[in-house]
Amino acid sequence: MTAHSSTLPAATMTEAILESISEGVFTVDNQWRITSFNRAAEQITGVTRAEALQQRCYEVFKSSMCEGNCPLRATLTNNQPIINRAGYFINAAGERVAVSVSTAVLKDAEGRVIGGAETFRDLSEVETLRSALNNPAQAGRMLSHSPAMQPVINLVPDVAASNSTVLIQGETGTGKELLAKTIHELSPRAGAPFVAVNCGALPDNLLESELFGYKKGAFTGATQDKPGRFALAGNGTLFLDEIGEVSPALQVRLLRVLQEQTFEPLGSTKSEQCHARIIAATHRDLTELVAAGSFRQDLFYRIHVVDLTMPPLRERSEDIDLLVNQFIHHFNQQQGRSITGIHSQALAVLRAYRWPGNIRELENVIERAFVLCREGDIELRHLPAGLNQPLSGSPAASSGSGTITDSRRSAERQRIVESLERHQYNRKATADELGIHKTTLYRKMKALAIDPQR
Amino acid sequence: MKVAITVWQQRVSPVFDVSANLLMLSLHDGKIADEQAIPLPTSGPAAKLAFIAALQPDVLICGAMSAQIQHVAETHPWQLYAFMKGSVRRVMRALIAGGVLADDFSLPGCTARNRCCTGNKWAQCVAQEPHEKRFGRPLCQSEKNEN
Repeated sequence: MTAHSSTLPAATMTEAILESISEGVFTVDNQWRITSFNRAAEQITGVTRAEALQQRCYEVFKSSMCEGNCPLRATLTNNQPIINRAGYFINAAGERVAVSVSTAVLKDAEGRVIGGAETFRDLSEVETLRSALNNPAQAGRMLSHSPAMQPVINLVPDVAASNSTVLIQGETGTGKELLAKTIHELSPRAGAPFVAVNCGALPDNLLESELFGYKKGAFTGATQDKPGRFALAGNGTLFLDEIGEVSPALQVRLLRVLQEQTFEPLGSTKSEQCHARIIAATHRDLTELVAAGSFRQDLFYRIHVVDLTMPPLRERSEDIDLLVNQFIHHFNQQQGRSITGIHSQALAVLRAYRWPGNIRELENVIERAFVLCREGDIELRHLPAGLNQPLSGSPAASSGSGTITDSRRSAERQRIVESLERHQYNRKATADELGIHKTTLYRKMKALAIDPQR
Repeated sequence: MKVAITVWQQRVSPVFDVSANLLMLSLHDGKIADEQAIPLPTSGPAAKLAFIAALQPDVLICGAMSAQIQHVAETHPWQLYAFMKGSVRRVMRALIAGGVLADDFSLPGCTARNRCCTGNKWAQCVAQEPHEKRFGRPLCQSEKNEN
């Protein structure tokens, strides 16, 4: 190696080094045109050397920094190198690739500035890992750390861009309406109204007039025309919550609207066009209702074009911290308060609870805590007693509740039971997941009265 | 016909997602009848897109665009030319002359060869292309090992 390198000319040597390193390197002349572009730069940017040479650097690199915050421009202006400025560029596939950029001035033998050099590192893997650790996945206003939410979050942009009818399923309180609003806000219809109707909250006749509207004289008391929700939604989105509660007669009318894109207000002889996008939601299993004959199969297929399922909060417990912080921020703003956060013991109780009422129940618990907590952090004593009760069957159940030890035991028991259930009571797999030895798991199961035979 | 171009230094702005300025041009009888420079919102690419949509252009010409934004941009009723480059005058001359923009105006690495389709499908196409075609040379040993 030494013998070879001593015989190589300096320029060839430099080129060989530039070609072998993993950092992208390019140089520009004083007109910002690329004069050299190494192999790593080709690989990172996806632009070949032939395509890059003599092109303007900002049109090759396509970086977030080029237009207003170009490090190379700053270096050539101030004659100062810049080290590791973070940004991203957009590759040909439209992906944002995180990079760290360093720059230096290029001078000729007489010390005249002949351009600049930029080196950059692909940080996308580091960013992916960092993002997974710190930043929740996001779609509009919806944030989540939970793997259970990933399929939903990933689908939202594509669903929003389409015009298809969407069916959102999930237990009550899981955030179905928030998901519908997010789809609307990210869609091209965002400037038009989002109109929500709870189909389960109104009797059949009233729901019909609410949805389709009525004409003056259609029935006693109809003293003037009233537009329905379909008309009010215009080119926006109509959210039909609890669609599983709609009567068979109204299902027929809804089916007609979805098939023909027209509807008739009560008492009208003319059809009106429906331009709104329909998003339906239910907490019930529509396939069961279809099998039982209480929900029309044809209507089910009409609304089941795109199907999204919101997981219950107990399946996305990774999100409890995030949601609690969001609610604290929300109530601080709404009520003009300055609650600083939540005590770790109180948070442990929230994490251990099963949340049958899902996110809505969590929101109510935080709102209640705001009534009892005047300042500082929300503590254990500000939470409802029911939350703090150990699970039935555990030793703590008979020894009272409310102490920190009880909370810890309750949380610990909950965590172990959940893990056991996930692994069909395979104790080796459970111990591995919990990061404890199998013997420790046995000891804890015995101490916490967890039935090993379940 | 109304044409919207995201601009920087009298050229198509290289990255739509961070573009600061828009040029709105009205064409009548094959000539530019009116042009207006408009600052874009600074709050993010979705806000920029919504702002431009409200101006109802028939054509949108811009530089590199992240895939998610491009998905949304493609649902609007305009002719979208993303991943474009060049001086505004030259781009407009070509548009007026031919009604479309050819590969000469594609950003390096984003020509029609790569752009057999757009968005995620486009990414798949680029990924599936033989290395020789993309980089003009066969895989070296270390790249083969990586694959």
